[in-house]
Amino acid sequence: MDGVRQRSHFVPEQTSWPTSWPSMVNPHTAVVSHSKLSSSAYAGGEAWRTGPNQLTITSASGAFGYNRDLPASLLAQGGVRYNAVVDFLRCLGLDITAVPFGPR
Amino acid sequence: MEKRYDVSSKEVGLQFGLALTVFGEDAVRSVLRQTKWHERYSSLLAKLESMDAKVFGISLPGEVVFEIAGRDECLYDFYADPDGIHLYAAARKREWTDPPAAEVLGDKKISAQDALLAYGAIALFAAVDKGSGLKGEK
Repeated sequence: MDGVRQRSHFVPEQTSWPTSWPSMVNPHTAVVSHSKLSSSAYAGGEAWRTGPNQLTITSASGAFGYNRDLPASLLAQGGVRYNAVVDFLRCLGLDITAVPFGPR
Repeated sequence: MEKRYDVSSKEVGLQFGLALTVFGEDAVRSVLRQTKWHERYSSLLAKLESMDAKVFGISLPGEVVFEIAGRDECLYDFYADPDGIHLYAAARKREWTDPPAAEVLGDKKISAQDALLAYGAIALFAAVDKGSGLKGEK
């Protein structure tokens, strides 16, 4: 989620990208990382198309999601941001199933 | 008696590119420079000198990865959730003074070597990449 352009960005996880971030599936290749999708993101995670007009999302992101590397106060703030993502996507008319904010 | 570890490649082996991400280039290179590994894995280590991106997919032997995980230069500390399933990573050099949430939430700090043995190498990468790793994930 991009806080400046008020947009959501989606990209297939294994998209080749000129970074040093390796693919877990095929480490011969470098793939996109969440921090490359937007310089103004406030939340990030994973999404699956689970039906017509339907998304299931999680907060699994080392950069913008549920990450216990963060101080506890910022981790809690991440939950608020994740809820804002859910609200934003629902406002677009999508049927959202949100896996609770937390570890995978 | 010296503690014995199961460091078979099946359990803790990791591709070069993933190892760079999990442990950092300084930790990886400091181990790969050691003469003992060149004597044992000369062919493999010679391939890693290539600039070809395909070297990132070369699997490092478990005993090499295990030694890398023990280096002070490693980028991350690891924390085990009391549930015994989830593993988290926290930067060793922090940009803020507050402790990581992992400490506040009661996760147990474990060495990267112990994390490797208990959770498997891919779980360490996922902890860095996705915020949490799962015990035994492939």
